[in-house]
Amino acid sequence: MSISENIKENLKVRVQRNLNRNYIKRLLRIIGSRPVLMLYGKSFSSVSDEYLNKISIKHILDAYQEKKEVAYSSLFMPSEFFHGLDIIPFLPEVFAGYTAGLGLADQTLSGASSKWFSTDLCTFHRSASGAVELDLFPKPDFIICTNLACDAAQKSFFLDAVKYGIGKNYYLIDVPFDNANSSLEYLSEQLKNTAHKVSKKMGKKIDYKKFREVIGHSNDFRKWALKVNKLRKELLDYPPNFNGLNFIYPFHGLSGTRDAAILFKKIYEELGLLLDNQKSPEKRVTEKKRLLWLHLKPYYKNDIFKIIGQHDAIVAFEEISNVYWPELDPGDPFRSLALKMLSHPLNGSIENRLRAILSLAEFYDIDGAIIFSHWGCRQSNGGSRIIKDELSKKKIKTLILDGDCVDKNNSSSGQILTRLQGFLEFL
Amino acid sequence: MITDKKGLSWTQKTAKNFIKDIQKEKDTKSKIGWVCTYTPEELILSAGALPYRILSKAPLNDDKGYLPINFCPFIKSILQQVFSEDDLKAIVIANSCDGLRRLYDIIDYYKKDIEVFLLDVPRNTDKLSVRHFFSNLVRLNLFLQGCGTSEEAVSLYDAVKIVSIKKKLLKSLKEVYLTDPEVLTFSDYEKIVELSMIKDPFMLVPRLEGLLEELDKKDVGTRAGHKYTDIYLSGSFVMEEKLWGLFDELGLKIVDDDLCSAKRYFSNVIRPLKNISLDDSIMSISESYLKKTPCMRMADLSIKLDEIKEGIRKTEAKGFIYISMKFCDNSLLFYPLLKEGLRDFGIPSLFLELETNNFPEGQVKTRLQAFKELMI
Repeated sequence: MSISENIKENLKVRVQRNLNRNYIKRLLRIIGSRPVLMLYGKSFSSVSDEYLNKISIKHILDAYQEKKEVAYSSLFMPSEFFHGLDIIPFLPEVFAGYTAGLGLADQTLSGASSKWFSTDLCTFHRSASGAVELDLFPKPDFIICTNLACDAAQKSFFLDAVKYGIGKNYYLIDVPFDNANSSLEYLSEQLKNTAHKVSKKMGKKIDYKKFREVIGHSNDFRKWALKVNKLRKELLDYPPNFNGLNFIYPFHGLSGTRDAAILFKKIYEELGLLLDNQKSPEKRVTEKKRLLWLHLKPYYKNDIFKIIGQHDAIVAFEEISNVYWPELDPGDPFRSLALKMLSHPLNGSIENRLRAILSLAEFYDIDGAIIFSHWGCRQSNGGSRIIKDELSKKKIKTLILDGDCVDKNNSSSGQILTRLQGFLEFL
Repeated sequence: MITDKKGLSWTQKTAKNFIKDIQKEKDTKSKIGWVCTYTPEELILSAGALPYRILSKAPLNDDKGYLPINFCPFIKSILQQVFSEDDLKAIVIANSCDGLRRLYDIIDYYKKDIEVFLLDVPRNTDKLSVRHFFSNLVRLNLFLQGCGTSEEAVSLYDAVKIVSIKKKLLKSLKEVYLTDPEVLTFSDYEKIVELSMIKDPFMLVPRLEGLLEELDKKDVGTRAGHKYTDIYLSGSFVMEEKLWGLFDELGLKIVDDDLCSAKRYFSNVIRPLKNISLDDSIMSISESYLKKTPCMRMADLSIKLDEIKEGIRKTEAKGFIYISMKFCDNSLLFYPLLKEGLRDFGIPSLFLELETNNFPEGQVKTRLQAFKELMI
């Protein structure tokens, strides 16, 4: 076990034994302090992994410190909205993934069950609700979420608002189905109105200068993310432990911060060196089967990606890393953010998602696609058959892998690995 | 009480005959299917078509594997029905939940011989949302007008008028049941509501008026010897005749039926206004539908909770039954809030998670019997 894995294991055990918000805050303070963070950072096997961990700890700690207003937000609510309002966004769905990684999901899911959450529901939302029930997450001042992609987020967040007695500070940004002009107006008006209401409650006015700065960072992040994605078209080797599905927090929660832009610049530089190395004449490159990963992955310890590597295959790209939105206009933040939301391939008809998937499959010269069919995710699983049939028209084989991203007990690892191995051999 | 050989009172027999007669009526208009009560049937009717709710009554045996196993069985049944029915001119699917959105995609992708329209329904009810819903309804209206059913078209005024009369009559019918379940059973009341969602209102309304007149003549002392336990019922879509039968059999009187197959279908009555523009008419439809008795899909669940609490208070219900369709995220995620909210009332509650057309009758009967005993 490497030093970083040792440290992580140690942290896991400590959190598991001291399951409360104050302990998590204290722990974050310790590992977030400059010397520890520097030391801890050195233990990572790649520059991008190190920076990812450092900025994640910094921003999560910010949320726990409660020095500024904190807002719970759903994954697809653009975080630029919060950074522009000088509010710290906290994404319970993402941190539900962390509960799996830290081995806390058994407790959080049990917390949710004790509060009548049905086991038929998505475990991201159940685990997040359980964590809220157990008081593990920072206290929110606002809850501003969206129905983009899924119903469960807005509902479970409403329950959080009730739990914290902030029902009046709950806002649902209702994202229309299509991206007609009237939809853009409707959505940008909602964002603007909500920003006004929230600012008023904080005793402030909307700071458009701040929004301009945030949108600037967001565009910078977008630029580097696009470069990273372009570079991955040819890349066959990644740094150890690199997985595009690990960057969800910065990609969604930190978009609009300088840190996210720097992180993606670092990733670009690191992967660029690997690509240069790969292209050098003396380097012997083994051809690999190229996979497109759809939806998310299990966040608890599993062997899926090891098996993929063992079969001379790589995840060439993940749907979640797709930069789907156009450059944002710093002078018109709410309209820009509305456009970003409406551009999301998971919004509206499955045709939008299909279009994005087919374009990624073509760009990354994909041999096979894996849809990780997360338990309880109706919006994604409901479209799996169409995706499979459409990819099949392009002669791309698809594996629908049933499992659970958060609850290891609801995922048959043996079955997953057998099916995965069969699929990889078939490719 | 005077009853026939089957133990039916003459009013019950009248209701049953009414149901039989209406069922026999042939549909003369082209059918346009709808699935969610946020779809205004007034617009379908004014386009000259029959608004036909897809109730998916057939057992689920061929969903063609388009949807995963852990998916709303109601939606799977709708899918099965859409694939097996050949007389649907078009179908309108409201964007009320993730499941319905995917239903739209599957019909659009695999069933090319049917026109399908996705009606986007906002989750908030403020002015901005009403306006947005209005523009979606204008688009729906254009779609419907282009469906080729215009020979039977009626003015929107007439459509609004007939639907509002129908909904008022359904409310009156419910009053008859509430006044005396021996006059009209819950099963028959629900069956009539069901028919009102699939039959031509221009045919149904005068007959329904006739039925209400007949039932009003009741001269039997039916109440003697019958004890009912008042139950407040809430939940998602349920159209389970065996369950209604159990309520009747066990003497559970449903004092409110907050279901999308009952009250939430007919709660909003629009006042028909002559000499107003088409836009104004559609705007009033937009306002009425968006602000009707809410489904659990809407953003502000506290409104729903307050409404249920107020309902329990008003009806003085002795028990509460919540029914959720299996895998229905919207209703399942409302339950934790509801459970907490009901704590103040101190009345027993029962949670039933059901599947369309796969009703575990014996099990539910035992649970209902035990539940009733709690209230005695």
